Amino acid sequence: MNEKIAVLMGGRSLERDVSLKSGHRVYEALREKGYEVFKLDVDENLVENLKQNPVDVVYIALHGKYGEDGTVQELLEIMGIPYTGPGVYSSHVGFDKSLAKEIFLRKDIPTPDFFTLSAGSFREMGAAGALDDVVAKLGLPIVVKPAGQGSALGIKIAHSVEELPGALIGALSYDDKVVLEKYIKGTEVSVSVLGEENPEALPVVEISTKKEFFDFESMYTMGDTEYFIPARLPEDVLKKVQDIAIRAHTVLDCRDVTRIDIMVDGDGNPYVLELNTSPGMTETSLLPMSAAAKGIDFSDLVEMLVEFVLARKR
Amino acid sequence: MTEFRFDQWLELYATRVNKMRSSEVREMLAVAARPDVISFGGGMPDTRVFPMNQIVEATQRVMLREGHAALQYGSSEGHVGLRRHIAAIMGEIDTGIGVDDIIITDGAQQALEFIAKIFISRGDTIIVEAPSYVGALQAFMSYEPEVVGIPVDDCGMRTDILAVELERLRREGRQPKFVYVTPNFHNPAGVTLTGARRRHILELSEEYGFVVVEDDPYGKIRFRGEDEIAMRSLDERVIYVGTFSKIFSPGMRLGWVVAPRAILEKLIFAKQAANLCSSSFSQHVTDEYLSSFDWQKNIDDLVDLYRERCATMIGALEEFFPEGATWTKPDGGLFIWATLPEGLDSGELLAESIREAKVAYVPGRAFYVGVQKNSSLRLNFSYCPSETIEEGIKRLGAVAKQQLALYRSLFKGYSPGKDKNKK
Repeated sequence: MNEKIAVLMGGRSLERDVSLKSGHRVYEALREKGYEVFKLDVDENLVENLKQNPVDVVYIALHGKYGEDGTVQELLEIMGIPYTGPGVYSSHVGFDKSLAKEIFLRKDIPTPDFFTLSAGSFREMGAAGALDDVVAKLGLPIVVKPAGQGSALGIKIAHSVEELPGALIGALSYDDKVVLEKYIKGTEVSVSVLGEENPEALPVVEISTKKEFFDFESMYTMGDTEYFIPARLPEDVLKKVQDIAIRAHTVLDCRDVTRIDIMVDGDGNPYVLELNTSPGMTETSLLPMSAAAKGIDFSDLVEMLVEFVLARKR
Repeated sequence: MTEFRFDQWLELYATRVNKMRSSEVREMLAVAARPDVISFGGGMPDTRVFPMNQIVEATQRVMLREGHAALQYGSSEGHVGLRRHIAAIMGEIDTGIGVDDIIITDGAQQALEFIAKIFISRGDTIIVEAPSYVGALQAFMSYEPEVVGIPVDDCGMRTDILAVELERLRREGRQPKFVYVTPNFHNPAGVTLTGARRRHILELSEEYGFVVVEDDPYGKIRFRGEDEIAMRSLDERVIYVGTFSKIFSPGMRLGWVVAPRAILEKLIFAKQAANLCSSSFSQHVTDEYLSSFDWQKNIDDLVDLYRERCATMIGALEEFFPEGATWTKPDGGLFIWATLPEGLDSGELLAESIREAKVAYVPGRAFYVGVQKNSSLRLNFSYCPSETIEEGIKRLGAVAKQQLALYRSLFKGYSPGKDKNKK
């Protein structure tokens, strides 16, 4: 257990602060477990730093752009440094909600109906003129999400056609590409999946918020949101939700850990909203909560992820 | 089935803790701390241009002469020598103000916290400007008041609206506890309250029986024109809050309050409970600095620098900001308040601005209670050198123009219901 580990955190994504929180906790957990560990706030000296301080494993506690979208994963592949979490392809596809949903559809994994539009389509092609058709096809309300952004940043909901342009401007501030998605009314749940060969789903977490959806503020503000483990759903639905999460993990070729966000409609049908390849590890994050419900405490969870990497190395 | 608790103490916290919220804006501004981001976000003086040798000398003299006192607890009211200097500074406002009318606090921020603590019970009504200094709102909100915001125009708080609101509150049987104003070079709006309106607020305070809190951090940072009369010089019942943070150093954490005796006594209780006394070390060094050096000249130099940077920022806004945007042209202070055309949301623009332009600022919504959408930006000009200001405004302007083009294509290309009417 003398492996040297660098925890990558911070960076310049909009989720910098969340990442620092995740990173500090991961660092403490690894130290407690006896690893030689140091923290690296990611900046333009990352490669240089990693070259000067060779490590056995990089723990990626980054969220958002560059940390979760395959960028840092590709760099680590080039440098030959093993890292935690899904590889380049899975990260790339998982971070792009539009691409991930396209793949889910092709693999018969249910996901809410959607369209993808880019800032360019509005500026260069007059896409605004087609919004009537979007509404006719998806119905209302419509959820508008930046295609590549985590922590629910920039997610807007339009209840009427009049609210759509405002919601689009909002979401397009966070990414040049947005997903317009049919709103599924029901129970919001989140399932974390661990492993690669025979991935295993952790208990289903139900997120019950006073707000219309689990937005950034409720995610990180205590008291606004209630969580239930397992989710208050019938046994067979819970099983269905876990199966679908494992399938989503598998079709995107994921390994180590992912967190899949799912809406379950009134008839018990699950719809995959997105797959996260670098789930939050803060004090109020869903993955550690779900692991705890299964008796895996935080430091064991972190060590398990490192063990996955070491097993791959051997 | 179990309900999961992230925080096992959730049931035990005081209700006021629920008012402390994380926000997207704070999250995004965390990125602005990075060196590659140009930040117009803070309200920082440029300490890089401070006369370091003077401060070194002041510190050395204090330590050699009275080091034991500088390292010891002090009185809750504050170091007498420093209070004498404050009384002299306050002499411009009222020559009758003496050492005993002043207490020293840890920056003006602590004074605001104390004022909230001694006046606000849960559910009490207080009145603030809308927009208002975000730190004051934070200090007030933890005591769970009902906040009434009065709009601000180019002449400061709209006292005509204040009068209407006071009458409404009276009908509802609500007694406002205090009215909080930043009359000089308002943060964030950059405007100065006119003399007539200052008098109007004082008349209203007489009629409706509330306390006036006059927060004046920027009064001495004036680029041009004449000072308006301080509200405290018109009425001794005003609570005046001052600070060394903009005229000397925010790192010293020293501010002060001038208040009527009865209120001052309550503030001293609050001070004792909070931290016994402000840093003796800071107070002695500041006292020595004010005694031995031409601090007024140092302020004049700072004012010259800020005047130039403010002009640079206004020039850059004229050159690079989209048509239809407006901004204040302050006569002092640290901030310009710019407003985007057609109701573009400055909070959303911040995401784009950090992402694309690596420029940060504080979006307008931060300065209101309960407002989600706002098209203004608070831009600080005191901290960045002129070249950086120009570059930052150039990049920010480009992002704003891009956002505006998108906005126009969306709202012009799509007018719901219009086509249907034609048919």
